[in-house]
Amino acid sequence: MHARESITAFGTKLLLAVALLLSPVCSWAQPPISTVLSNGPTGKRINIVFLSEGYTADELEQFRRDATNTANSLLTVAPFDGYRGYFNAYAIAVASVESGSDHPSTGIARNTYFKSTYESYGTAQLLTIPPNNRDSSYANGQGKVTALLNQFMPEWDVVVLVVNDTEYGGAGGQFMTVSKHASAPEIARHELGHSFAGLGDEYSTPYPGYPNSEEPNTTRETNRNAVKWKAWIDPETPVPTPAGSTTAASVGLFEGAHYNATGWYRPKNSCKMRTLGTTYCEVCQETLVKSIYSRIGTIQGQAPTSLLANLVAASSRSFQVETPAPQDRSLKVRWTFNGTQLTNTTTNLLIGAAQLAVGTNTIRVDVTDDTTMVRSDPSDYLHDSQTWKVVVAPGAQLRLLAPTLLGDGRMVFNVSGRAPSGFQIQASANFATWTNLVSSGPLDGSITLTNPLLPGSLVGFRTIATQ
Amino acid sequence: MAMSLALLASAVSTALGASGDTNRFVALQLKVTATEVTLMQALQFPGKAKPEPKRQGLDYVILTAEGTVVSRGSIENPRFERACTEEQPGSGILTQSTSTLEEAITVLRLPVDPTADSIEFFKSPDSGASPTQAPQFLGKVSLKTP
Repeated sequence: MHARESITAFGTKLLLAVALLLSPVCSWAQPPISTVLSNGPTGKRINIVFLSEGYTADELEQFRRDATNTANSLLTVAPFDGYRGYFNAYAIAVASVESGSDHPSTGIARNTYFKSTYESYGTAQLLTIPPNNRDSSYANGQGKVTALLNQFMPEWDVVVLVVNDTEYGGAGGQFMTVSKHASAPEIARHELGHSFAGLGDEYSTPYPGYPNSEEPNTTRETNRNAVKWKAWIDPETPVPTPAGSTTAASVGLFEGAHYNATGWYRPKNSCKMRTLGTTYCEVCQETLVKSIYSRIGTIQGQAPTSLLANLVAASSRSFQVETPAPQDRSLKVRWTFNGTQLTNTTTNLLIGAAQLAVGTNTIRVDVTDDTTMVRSDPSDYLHDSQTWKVVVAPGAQLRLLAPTLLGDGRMVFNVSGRAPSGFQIQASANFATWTNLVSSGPLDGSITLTNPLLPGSLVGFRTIATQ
Repeated sequence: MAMSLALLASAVSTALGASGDTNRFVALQLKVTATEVTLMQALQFPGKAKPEPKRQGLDYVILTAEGTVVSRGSIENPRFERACTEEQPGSGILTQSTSTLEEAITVLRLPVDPTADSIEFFKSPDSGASPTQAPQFLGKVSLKTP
């Protein structure tokens, strides 16, 4: 049977579902969300959201400190440390009746907001919220997380529940959990590799029935020239690569990955996706960096926002591009004007009126992160470009800016454009009869003119090109 | 004769492209079982639905009213829970704990696209499956708001 739902037909159920999910949190004396790290608008940054679990009302300030510490622990390891400015972090503080979490085998049960528990599915340090093997109700755990995110941070990218319990524990998934044990953040970093970048597990513990699809850091390919991370394999590194002291620092093709001891390979002998307490290997770091840019890009805004301008007279034009910035360096900016690369490497460009030719002028900017952490980027995540077209119509074209009235009754006129045979500025009190105010010689650019004292009250001004 | 007309008015200046959001996204809360995907609720928000990495589990196809494919994607099947844990706390040696749920709920966020009429879900094919094997259809959800 195929289920067919429509948003229209779901109207009543929708309202009920929304009411049920939002009713515990729909009214707050004070919004529970606070900012831990702010580096830009939520739509242009990776947003990490921490939620409190097992913190009483008196402990919520401690939660905010714990969230800050957890954010730092995630963002101070490579490659995130080089892109810290690409992240925001927020803390949503909701109070539990009691501190801590459940430990069923010792009879400890705590009345907590998200009903977290250790020993999920028979694994001591597996710390989860419902639905799980102890409570199948989505509404009791993950449903509350979803409701809070919808209300306070719908543009979330990474969600971490910080559990106020010092026993080692955590879990991954769409919403991660991490305890306050000193080593717990390392589990979170491993899980971040899965949830943020789609990295696979590189350990060999069997997982019967797990899909045989490769991840960016796992493969069954043994042909050196076809391995997806071949850009990282030195020519002198044997493929497959035997594990040993001489290859410990090498990227190669090490057997054992994706829950298989044989037939599957990983890039490096040691990596955080295989063993905790180590760094992400080069291939995993590359994937993480590309995952950052796949979400936010290298160009995050531009001016003018309109990409096509039609001018009746050439005038100077300013172009700007907004980019994120890695730590301690800038992205590479390259401007081209009508196909010619310019020497300007900043995010601002001014094209003078005299440079703009009659016809179509093309201004393009390319912004690239040339980090050495990425050697292969077939999807071009680390590069964006923007192109503007400026069309200048031929012939005598004049543009008169709104005149400035001086205190003594004179007026200042700014005229730009082209008038090969000169022009006049005329004024009128009724838009029917026009009087010459100022005459000027040929113009190709801009000019500022001040007229003599004007008679009467004038409401309109115009330029007339001399033929 | 070429002329330009100017009244006593202020010139308009151009500022850097405003970051005020004209983008919106829809969050689909989906219930997933072994045989179907159904919609629990759909909420729209201002902002950007950032692309997610491709995963194995559930494939989806976004279609126009005429059946033209707008885009494709894939998400993890929330029914299959996998958690990595250390064999011994502090050992660094990882193993996994797995469970399969009869039903699970997940949220899929997509940019609001006026051309998108519906989204269809399929079970991701196994990598060893024949390319000619039809994917298992799991459900269709309308993306049109009333």
